[in-house]
Amino acid sequence: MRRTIPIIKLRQNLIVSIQIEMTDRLVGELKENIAYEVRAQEVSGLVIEVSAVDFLDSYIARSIQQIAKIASCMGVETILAGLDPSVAITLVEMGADMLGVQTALDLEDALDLLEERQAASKAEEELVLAEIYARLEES
Amino acid sequence: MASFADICAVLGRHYSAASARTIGRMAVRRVGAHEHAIAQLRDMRPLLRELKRGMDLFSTSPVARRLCISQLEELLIGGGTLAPLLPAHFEVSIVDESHIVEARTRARAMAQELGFSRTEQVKVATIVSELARNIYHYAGTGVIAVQRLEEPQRGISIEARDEGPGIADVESILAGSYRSRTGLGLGLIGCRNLTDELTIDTAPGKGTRIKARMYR
Amino acid sequence: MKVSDLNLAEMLSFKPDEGRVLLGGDRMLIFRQDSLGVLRRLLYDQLGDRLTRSILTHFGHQCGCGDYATLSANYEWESELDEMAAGPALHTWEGIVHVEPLLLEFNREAGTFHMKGTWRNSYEAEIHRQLFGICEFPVCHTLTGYMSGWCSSFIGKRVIAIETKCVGKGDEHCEFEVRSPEAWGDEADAWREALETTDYSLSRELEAKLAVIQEQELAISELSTPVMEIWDDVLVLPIVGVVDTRRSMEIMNNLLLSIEQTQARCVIIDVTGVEVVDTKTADYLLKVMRAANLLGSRCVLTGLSSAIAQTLVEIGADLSEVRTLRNIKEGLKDCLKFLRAQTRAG
Repeated sequence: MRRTIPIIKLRQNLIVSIQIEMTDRLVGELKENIAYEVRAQEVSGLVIEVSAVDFLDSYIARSIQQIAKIASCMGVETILAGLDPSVAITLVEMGADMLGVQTALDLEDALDLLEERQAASKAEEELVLAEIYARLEES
Repeated sequence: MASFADICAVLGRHYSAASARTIGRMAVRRVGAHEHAIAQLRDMRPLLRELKRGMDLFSTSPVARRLCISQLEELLIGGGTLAPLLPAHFEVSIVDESHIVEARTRARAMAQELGFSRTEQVKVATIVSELARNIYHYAGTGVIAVQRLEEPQRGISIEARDEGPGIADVESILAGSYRSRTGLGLGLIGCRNLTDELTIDTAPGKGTRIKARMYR
Repeated sequence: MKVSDLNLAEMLSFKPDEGRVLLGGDRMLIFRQDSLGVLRRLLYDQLGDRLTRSILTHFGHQCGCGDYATLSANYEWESELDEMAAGPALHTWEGIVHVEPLLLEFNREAGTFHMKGTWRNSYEAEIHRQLFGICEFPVCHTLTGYMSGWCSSFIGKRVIAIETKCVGKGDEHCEFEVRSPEAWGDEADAWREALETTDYSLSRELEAKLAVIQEQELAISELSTPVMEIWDDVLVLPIVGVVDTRRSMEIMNNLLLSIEQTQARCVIIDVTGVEVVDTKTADYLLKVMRAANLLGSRCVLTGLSSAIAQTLVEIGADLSEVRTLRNIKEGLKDCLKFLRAQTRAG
């Protein structure tokens, strides 16, 4: 499988850091690869890191939205991190804002956010399981 | 070796030609040098300082000023030769997806050289990308022509031409009432929001010609 | 009577007042060759080569048997040779083909038979070439059938006629040979088979296959809409296969029934086994989930593959009102958390 942009697994999350110019073809490849990895790996979060990206047009923006939706179909939360202010301004002025995509200032923030939620979720699960086991012991 | 003409050329990228000559001459006179003998100056730093003082008298964007200074430094102290100015206009034939990237990269470089701010550079690149992509997806092939503008204001003119099927009902597309899944509408509306001037000349079966202008 | 006395022009009686043509006491018919060509083409197109060959052979066979019966009933032959030769002669008179016997050896008591002959102007080769051009295989099936029929009736035992040369194949003229089945090697297999297939098996084969498919469909649909209660208040509905209108109704009915019976507050619909989820399928699933919601049950969708997720997003399907999770495990965790929250709140 062609992997121009690497997808890295870090604990419960996948990290995609875009360091090169985004051509349409690359966007398509990224969509497919991320979709594949989200399915293949046991992760619950995805961070798309774009601090090195100095250009996003409406098509690429929409593709990122789609990636977020695809990940969501498979139960994975997406956060866009490190969006350049100039790029952000342009997107907003164009009207191509990224509705439905969560954002964070940088990779660290994004991971903090995701891991916080994942920890809370895990804690809740453990409570639930504890209660269940307790009930099972009783019966 | 730097010459007076070179200095004026660099200044001329960010200020009008007349202003550039004035700044140059003032600075040279203040350091007590002669226009024909710049290269003989042992220490360029005083000249650089005077040039900066002169630049402060004429307004330009802080980004452009910084760029100008760094280019002058490069020229006078760095011992570099004058970096060749990018051509005043260029055309890219859109046949392949890679041409979309080429067109926007070159347009952005031109915007940078003209002293557009970072955000404005992104806008220029975005406009070119949107128009080029529309050509590629709807007309198959076409041309993106980008040109420097000097008078009355510094800026960039972008033209997208194709012999494609033309756009029917541009009005409703720009009004936002046409929802295209593929985003033709969004691209055009976006361009209109980003540019200072946008004209669309199209009809079904007659191809499309879109002109956009951005001033600094 | 001698075979040379055979004269169809005299033997046929035309009865226009009755609208009949008779040979002896039997009714004969006159059809245009090109119209028969249409029939032939339809047979080949609809039923294919094997079956058509068999049908035409049987038809010819019956013509031969019938002709023999009529002539035997109505005429006394001077010799066995005349009696036998009348067949080819009649075949010629009927305008089917010109028969030129080359060899004829038989022994009625012993039951042996061997005949060879030439056929010219075979109508069958003529129309076959008109319809289909030159073929790889001999085409005069009604003719060989006729000879099989006539000769078998004559000798009182089954014999098989084959074509050794055929105009339909591109030869100058047709040639045939008739022997008893034991005397033939495998060169007569095609004709043997054509004579023996009496069961018009093609349509019956299709019918049988269709019945099997229907049974299998039923079995599959019964297999694929089970609703299982995997925990208190949690139902799992794994969907396998294609979700069309009919299936979606079945699924909906099954699910709602189960919800009613178990009073489950959570449902996990798993589509790992669904190959294709397009907008229509997504719509059906949405309907099922909304119906479950109305009954007071909370639904989650699990098991969307990466390919399906991409397709759905690309075609713009609206899954915003649907909770989607990776798999049944995550779905169960989610349901348990929900139930716990509900218990605490309530």
